Amino acid sequence: MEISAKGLSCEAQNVCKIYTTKQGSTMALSEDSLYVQAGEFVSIVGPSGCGKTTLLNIMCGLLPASDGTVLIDGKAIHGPYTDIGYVFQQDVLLGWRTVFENVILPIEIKKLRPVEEYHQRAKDLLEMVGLKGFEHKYPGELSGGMRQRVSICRALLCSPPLLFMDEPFGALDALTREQMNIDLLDIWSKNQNTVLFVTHSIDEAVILSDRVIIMSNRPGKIIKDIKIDLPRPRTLHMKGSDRFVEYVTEIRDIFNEYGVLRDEKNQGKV
Amino acid sequence: MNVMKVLRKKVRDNMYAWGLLVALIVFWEAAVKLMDLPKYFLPAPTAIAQKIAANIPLLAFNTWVTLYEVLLGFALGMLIGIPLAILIVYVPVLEKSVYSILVSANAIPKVALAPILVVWLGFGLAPKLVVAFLICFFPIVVNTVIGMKSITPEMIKLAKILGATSQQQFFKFRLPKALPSIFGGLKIGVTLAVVGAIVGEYVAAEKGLGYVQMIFAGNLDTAMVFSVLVILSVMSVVLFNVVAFIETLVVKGNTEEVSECDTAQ
Repeated sequence: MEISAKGLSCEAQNVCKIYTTKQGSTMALSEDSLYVQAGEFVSIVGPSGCGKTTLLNIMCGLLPASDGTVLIDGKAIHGPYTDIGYVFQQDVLLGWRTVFENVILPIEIKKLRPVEEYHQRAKDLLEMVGLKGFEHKYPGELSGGMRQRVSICRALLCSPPLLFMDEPFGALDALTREQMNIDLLDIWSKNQNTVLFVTHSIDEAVILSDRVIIMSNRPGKIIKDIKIDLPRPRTLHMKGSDRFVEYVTEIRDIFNEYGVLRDEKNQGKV
Repeated sequence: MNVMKVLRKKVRDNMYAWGLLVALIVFWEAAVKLMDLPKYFLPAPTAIAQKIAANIPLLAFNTWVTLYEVLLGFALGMLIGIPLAILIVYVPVLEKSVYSILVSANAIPKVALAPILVVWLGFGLAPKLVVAFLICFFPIVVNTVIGMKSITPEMIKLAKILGATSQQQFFKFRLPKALPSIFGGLKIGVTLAVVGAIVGEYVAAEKGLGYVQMIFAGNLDTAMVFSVLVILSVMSVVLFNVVAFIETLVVKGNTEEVSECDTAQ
């Protein structure tokens, strides 16, 4: 079975999202457009509540946009686009299924054949992320990092052309997180799918991505689109390089400028 | 190896419980003998054992009668309770109407309905069955509703992005997530069903363990009353453990997140 399915392009055109409550309506996302090339790794960075996840969910059809269009591979989508791998902040593993049964959940739901080949792929994926021998454990017996690896395997099982990740490593400790970043890059280089990655870690966004999209809040708006010109394959070592530091500083300055980060010591109470 | 650990721990924990139980029985026996209590006031454990041994045919027949009422009542509780709970979860109108009333109606002491049920349904099987059903029905419904609602928004999102049909959402996500809670309700329900059947028999019956108890209590044959109590206790414990055993067969994976509403009833 071919492991690498080519990535698909994904585009949001002037999407906005308005939530209406009894108190009135809030604009979560305002007139945002984003084009992600096939096979590209793009991160969205921004403060909490800036609509990153909203944008991500709109771009895969999980959430209907109040206005605007979403195109995948040039075709407009209506409703959830299911040929996609989605990784949540929490692993969302089903506690009553073993690691292996969790990974093969997508083919059970989608009734894909031949089962044996997908079972083999599930085993290969688990081996790739270092979970060989854990197939028959239940999620409750694994650590947070291991569980998140299982959920990534589940997302990759059907070789989806698109991989959407919503702060996937946010709940992990710093060291596990760095390791997961490298593992993810390794997986991506083998799969060549399009990745849209939401995070609030500037470091993480820079080390992983081809492009970093910067959002500010209230309403969620894309304010900058920065191309990251670091060579691939990326290593953790690059985090010490001048180029890396320059990118991180540049992004931090943008947040500073928009008032998301503040350096002044004599600022009033917020 | 994990299973062995759990098993060993279980044996160790139970050893203390059994030890205490034996100690209490010995103390009881000694107290009765030493204080020379009259038999009608408190019979010794050995006297109760003898009584059971001497009356096996009578007790066996009436145990079967009561067990039959309990099992039918419990089965009805499950067959009506679980589907109703599922409907309540899927139909918002039902939750606002039926479920709210059910939760309030749970405050009614169900056993107090027994005399009315006798008036309506006579002296046969029906009133006992209905009391057993009513009393186990509530915890089953409430726990099933809580379990069915315990599915997280992320799980629903996962189901949607995988393209799960609503049938698949139910069988692959909602139901398995709910099972620990449902079994919590069934375990409470089955022991309550025993209470219901006995109360039904107290009010009006011509057979069953509750009836036997009433007759022999009237004759001041306290040892016989205790014999029935022992049998009823054993029945409750066995039924509870049968349900618990089925639970271990059906519920897979970690049981850490077992519902916290086990004691809600």
